[in-house]
Amino acid sequence: MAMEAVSYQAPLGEVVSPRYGALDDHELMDAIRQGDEAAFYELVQRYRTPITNYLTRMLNDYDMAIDLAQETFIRIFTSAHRYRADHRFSTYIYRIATNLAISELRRRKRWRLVSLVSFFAPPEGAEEGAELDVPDQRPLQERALIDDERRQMVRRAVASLPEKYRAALVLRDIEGMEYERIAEILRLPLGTVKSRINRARRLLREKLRAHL
Amino acid sequence: MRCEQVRKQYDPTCEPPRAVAEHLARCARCRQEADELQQLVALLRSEPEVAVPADFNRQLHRRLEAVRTRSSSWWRLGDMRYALPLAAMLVLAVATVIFVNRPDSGTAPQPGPSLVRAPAQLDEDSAVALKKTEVAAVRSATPRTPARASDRTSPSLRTGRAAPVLSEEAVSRIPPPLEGSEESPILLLIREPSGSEERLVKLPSLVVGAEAKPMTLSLSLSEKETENVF
Repeated sequence: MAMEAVSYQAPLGEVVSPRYGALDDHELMDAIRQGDEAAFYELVQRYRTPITNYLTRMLNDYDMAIDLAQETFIRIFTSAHRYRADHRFSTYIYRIATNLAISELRRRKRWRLVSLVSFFAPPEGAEEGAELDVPDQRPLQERALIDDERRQMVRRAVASLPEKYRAALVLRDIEGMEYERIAEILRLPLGTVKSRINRARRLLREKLRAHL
Repeated sequence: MRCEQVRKQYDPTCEPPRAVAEHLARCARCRQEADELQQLVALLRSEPEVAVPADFNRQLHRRLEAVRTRSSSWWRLGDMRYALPLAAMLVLAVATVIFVNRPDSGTAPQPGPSLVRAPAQLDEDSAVALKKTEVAAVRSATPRTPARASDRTSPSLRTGRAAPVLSEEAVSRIPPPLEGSEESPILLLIREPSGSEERLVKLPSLVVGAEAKPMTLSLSLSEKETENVF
């Protein structure tokens, strides 16, 4: 995972000491457990962008992704005393973010929130892999517009996947994680993770065939 | 290798195993699927990274402070989200107990016979002796005066009508309660509608509510008098 600059501007204007940059995630968690807030913001600095990206792909909702990313860090801080360094820290933080995202998806499902995603969800009884949309074949469109449209389509298609496929696919094909780590994050057997990702890709291929 | 197996095993993000690669080399359909999956992964990975807002840390700091404040106020003052409903439930419970146990709870005063609850069980001999003294007391009742015996009437009657005249005298003749007795017979004061005469009757303990057993009325009451009672 790409690390950002060691020194950064923490909230309220103070500059975090560069010495935290030399500490690994577990050592930072130890410091946070002792109440060291600067160590906490070092962790925030390291993970805020990948976690926000991951949540944005999961939810297709930037504002909610920011909200849940912050909630993820708050949980890291408030439960630091329970943290155990028996896995990678990144596994731990992605697991928290995944749980928050899935809770949000289920909440939306319960309350039947109307969103763009719902228009792309397969209707009851319909084929799961039904094609999303017919591409606009009109000539003379700007390349940027086409790319933008395609990106939007990809996001909606990913967001329309069932949640059990979505998390695995996003972690593998967008975040680029190893299968073993995904299995740790999702607490699933390796074979289950691979088959879910395979299934998710084939569903997406059906939805986006016109754009491939 | 069969197509179905290749579909299960092919992973566009990894180098395919030799058997899969050989199958793809000779199966156009599987090769096309593999190409599409590779394009799909490339498309997904081409997604631009999302930037976090510039005030991300500041927002986070505010939320963290709010969490800390809430957490510390729980220990200091208690969480009002739970304290208020609990207090309301407590008040409601206390009010319910007071309402149920208030002196004149339930029924409005009903016209009817006056009741004097005897303090304890009477044995047979005492009851027979009481019958005579009661009747005598009734028949010799003097003009009515406010009776302290109202203290001994049942609660519903305390608020209903004037206390009977002879209660004090009659009840004073009742033998003291037997120690350890749980039974509490009912003494019934019968007042003529005209108010000229009153009688005291001991009802047996088999009285449930207002449903008495007239046959057990041990005084020589006439049918008419009994009807007056109930």
